[in-house]
Amino acid sequence: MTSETSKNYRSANAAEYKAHFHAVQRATTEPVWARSLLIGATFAFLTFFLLLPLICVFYEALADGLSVFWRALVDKDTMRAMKMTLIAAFFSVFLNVIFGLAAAWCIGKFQFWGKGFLISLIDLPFAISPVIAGLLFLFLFCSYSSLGRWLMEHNIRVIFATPGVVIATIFVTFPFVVRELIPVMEAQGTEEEQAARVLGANGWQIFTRVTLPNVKWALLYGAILCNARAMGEFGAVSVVAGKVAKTNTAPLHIEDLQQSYAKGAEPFAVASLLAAAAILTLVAKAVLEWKMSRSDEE
Amino acid sequence: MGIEVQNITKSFGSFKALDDVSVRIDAGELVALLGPSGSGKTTLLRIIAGLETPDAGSGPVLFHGAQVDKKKVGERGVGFVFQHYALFRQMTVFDNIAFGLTVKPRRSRLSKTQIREKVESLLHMIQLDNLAGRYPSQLSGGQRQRVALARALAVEPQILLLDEPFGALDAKVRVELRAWLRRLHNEIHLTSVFVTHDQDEALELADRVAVMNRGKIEQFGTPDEVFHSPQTPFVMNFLGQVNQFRGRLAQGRVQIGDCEGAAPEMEFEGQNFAKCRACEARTAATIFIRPHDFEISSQRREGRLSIPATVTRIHSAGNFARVEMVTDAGETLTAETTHSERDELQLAPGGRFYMTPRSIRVFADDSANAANVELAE
Repeated sequence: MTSETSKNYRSANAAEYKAHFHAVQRATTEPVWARSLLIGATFAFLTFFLLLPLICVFYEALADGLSVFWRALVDKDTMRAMKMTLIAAFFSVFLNVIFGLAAAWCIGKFQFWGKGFLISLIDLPFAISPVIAGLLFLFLFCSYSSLGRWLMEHNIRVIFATPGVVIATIFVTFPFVVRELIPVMEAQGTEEEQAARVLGANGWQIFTRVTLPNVKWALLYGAILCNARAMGEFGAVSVVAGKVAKTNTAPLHIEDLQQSYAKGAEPFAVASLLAAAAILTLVAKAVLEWKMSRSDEE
Repeated sequence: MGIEVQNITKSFGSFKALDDVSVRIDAGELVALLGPSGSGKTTLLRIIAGLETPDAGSGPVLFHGAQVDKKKVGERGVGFVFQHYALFRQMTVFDNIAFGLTVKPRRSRLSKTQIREKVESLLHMIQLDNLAGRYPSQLSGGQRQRVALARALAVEPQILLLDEPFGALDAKVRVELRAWLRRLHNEIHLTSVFVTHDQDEALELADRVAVMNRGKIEQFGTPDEVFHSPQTPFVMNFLGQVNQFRGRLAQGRVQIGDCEGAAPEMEFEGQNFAKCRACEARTAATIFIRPHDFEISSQRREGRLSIPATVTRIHSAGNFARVEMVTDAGETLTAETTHSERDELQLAPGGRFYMTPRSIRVFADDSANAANVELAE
């Protein structure tokens, strides 16, 4: 058959093929009204519960004009709370990345006794209420415990001080990085590391040139989620920060503003900062998901 | 001497992957480790490479006479090609090949331009000059395999080890790469060992083949030796198709069921049949006959072992006609014949013929051999 006739043959069949395709589609999808109802309900739900509150935050923040908005942001207490939030987020991302890599490496690439237990332990912060987590640390470091007494004798303040806030944040955000890394490392196996070892690479070279590049997107993804959670953490931090203004983080500060004198734009102005950070996180997350799906294809 | 391992044993839990294995591979030789899965061939390869440690009490591993088992993997000077290539997915083809050169300590490392020249010459050797910038995911299976080989050769290893090098490729590419690897080996003459479960691959490519079963080397010899004079029932069974009968031996004759007789070529456990003492008594034995070693006739051949059988099915698609038959005792039998002979004899299902072997191999039914035979079934 020449290419000319084969083309004709195909175009003659095109209509038939299309009809067939639609018949299959009709048979395997829901009717139009059901589809539009479901899609409509989803959109209505998302608009009501997610989009409207978000718009509301920005609307209220700017309700009294830009200057009030700006003043609320550069306020001394706001700045201090933001600084505390950034400190807590920085340390928890930094330490969770290091610890997450170490934990995911041993879980994803080695078989050892007690592995299942370790994996469940990693999920503990997800399972436990943040307030309970805060209380755990409160009891651990308070003056009734021997650790707390020892710290007090050496004049180290943990509870109601920056270290307490950082520790509580690390605890709550702990699973994010590990959880992202374990499946990726498990799927990749250890063959590339073995190949590098046979070629004469030492441990550090294997880590920096083979293992780390292979998980970089998953690591960044985990770090971004970890950061978002760290900046938004309220429950655990509110217990260990103890209503002292100098240890307020941004979410605690918002609550203070909300409950004290101001009913105006101030709490919303600070909240809009966190909301903006959340939107940035979403964008970064979307970009990374796209990157990861591409590197999976590779 | 290229590679020598002595008395290697390796267990994984209660499973004995290697059981007191010793082997000597000559310098410049290309050797195949052939066996079914679980026979220990990959474990042996990985122990030679240093990726596994043998059990305590095992003997040494020597490369060119020097003991290497105390050396780490990276210091042994081996090139290792992994079954699934294990290319570095985040690196280009160029960086993959250059990896072994760039991780060397600074004082023994080549300069950047020297590394570039070397990688380019390797790229040329594997005929992928224009794909240096590609990532492994953008290559075909055969191309990945060649990159993995170039990466292993870049560090100028003393020996080259390949784990199922063609296992993940489709049939056509596999045959092409096989020929290419053989040519390459003829050029560089590097002592090489490869693992395979594909007998065609082993017999075609290797200078010598080590047939492995249950953690032991059953036979180590040239492809001709292992195929034409197998030393154990396992090797007989594993290489090529074979018919297997229970029978007896007596005074230079073979008895299967009601039939008794001799064949022009008879071998007893790899030895000349005439010289075997066991054949004097009526020894129970397993008798092997290759499908192409049958003469098919409509009359019994006097003085020869002639087994009457009925045709059940004929497969004619192929270079030879494969005839499936069933003997009077109810045993199945496969024979191979040319298409012209098939027409001459008018072979057809239901037809009754006498099957007279030209060549038979016999193994006495002592316990060890019998166990092997059962596994091979």
